[in-house]
This record gives sequence, C-alpha cells and structure tokens, in this order.
Amino acid sequence: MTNPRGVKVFGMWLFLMSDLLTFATLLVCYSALRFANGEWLRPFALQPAIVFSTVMTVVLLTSSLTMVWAVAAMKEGDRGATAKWLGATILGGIVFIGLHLTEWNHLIHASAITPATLFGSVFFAVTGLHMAHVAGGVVYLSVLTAGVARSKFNEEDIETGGLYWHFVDLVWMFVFPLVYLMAVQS
Amino acid sequence: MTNVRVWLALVALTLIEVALAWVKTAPGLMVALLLALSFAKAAMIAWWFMHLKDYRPKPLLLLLPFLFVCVGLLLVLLPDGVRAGAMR
Repeated sequence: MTNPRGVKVFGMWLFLMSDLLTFATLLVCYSALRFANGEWLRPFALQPAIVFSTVMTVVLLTSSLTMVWAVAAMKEGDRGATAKWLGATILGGIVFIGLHLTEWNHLIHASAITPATLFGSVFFAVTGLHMAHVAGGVVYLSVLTAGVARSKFNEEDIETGGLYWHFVDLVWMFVFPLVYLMAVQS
Repeated sequence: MTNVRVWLALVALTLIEVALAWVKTAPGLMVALLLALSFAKAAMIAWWFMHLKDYRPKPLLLLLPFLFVCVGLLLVLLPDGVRAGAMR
C-alpha cells in the first residue's frame, strides 16, 4: 500500500489553493459589482428556480458522499466497489451539469437574461467556470474509473481525484448562496 | 456512518439557507448568515470529506498565504464597490 499523503496529494492541494484564488477573485468582484449597483437584478423565484438549484446542490453533495465511499473502498483494496462508487460520483456530476444547462436554457429563453447584461455576465461567468470544473472532474474521474477497473492507479491517485471533486463541491457552497439566494425575487 | 451524518448536516444547512431566502431576511443580515453557513459547510467538507482531520502535520500553514490574498482582495475591492454605489 502506498502512502496516501504523497507528492500527488500535495500537488493537488497546491493546485486547489491556486484555483481557490480564481474563484475568490470572481466572487469578490461579483460582490463589489453588487455593492456598486443598488438596483441589482433579482430574477430567481423560490419556485421553481431556487427549488431547482437546491436540488442541484443536494445532487453535488451526494456525489461528494459517493466519492468519499470510493476513496474508502480503494483504501480497503476493493477495486470493484471503488469503480462502482466512482461511477455513481460521475453520474452525480453529469446530472448536475444536465440540470445546470436546463436552468441556463430557461434563464436565457424565459427570462431573457443573457451574458450581455451585467447580471448575466457575472452569473454565467461564475456558474460557467464552476460547471467547467464539474465537467473536468467528470472526465478526470472517468479516466480513474477506467484505470481502476484495469488494475491501474493506487490509493493516492483516488485520494487525489477525491480532493478535486470535493473542492468543486466546496466552491458551490459559496456560489449557491451568494449568486442564487441573494438574487431571490423580493 | 460519520460521513452520512456529515452529508445530512450539509443538506440541513443548505435547507436553512433556503429558508432564510424564503422568509425574506433583511439583506445585510442575510449575507452575514449565508457567509457564516457557507464557511461552516466548507469547513465540514474540508475536515471530513477531504480528510483534513487525518493530516499530520495539518497543512494549515499552507493555507495562510491564500487566505491572506483572499482577505486582501476583499479589503481592496469592496470599498471601491461601496464608494461607486454611493457616487450615483
């Protein structure tokens, strides 16, 4: 068994910290724009928009739980269970992206909020960057799943993938309240 | 079992956030409460799901420079946002 706190895990932490700065910059700029524009658009009704985004949040949280179980299964040397839980995590990511794209489509066509508006540019930049991270995570975990099934990769590789996935979840814990809940119709 | 409890707590905190929006909490109070809940949820994810609790030594010193930059960004940019809003 390899050391799960090796150089790959350390490298992932460094990457995540730099990525954290990217999201922090975006969210701080979003907050500054909100302060500077008193009449900030509040397009989200509790039903269906906030209910919809709450479901997205629960889906992402659930995919984090299945990722924890994938890492735990790999630590026990159970590659079959690892591949199964990684598959469940990937499914959660795909469902999240599907729900997100549905929401974007609704916003653009029903509410006429496009990236050309101030709210739209901020909203699509923040949520788009996050969705790109989720899509990247789906590809990353798919490669890990294929490798695990063929007896490639070790415990540290799965732990490293888990760190990335949990980080994507962690960032959403700030995006959801600041971008969605603070823009609920009054 | 602990991980399932953490997940349940995260979902519960998310529902509390939604409830704050539902009861139409005052914006200033709401942003303060939402940020507090977000940091609590982020800490729970990092501590249990990312296994920060198992790290020896804990890489908290690694986090400090990044925290410094994040707080610095807030201090530099937010006053500009407030000032620009007041100038209208």
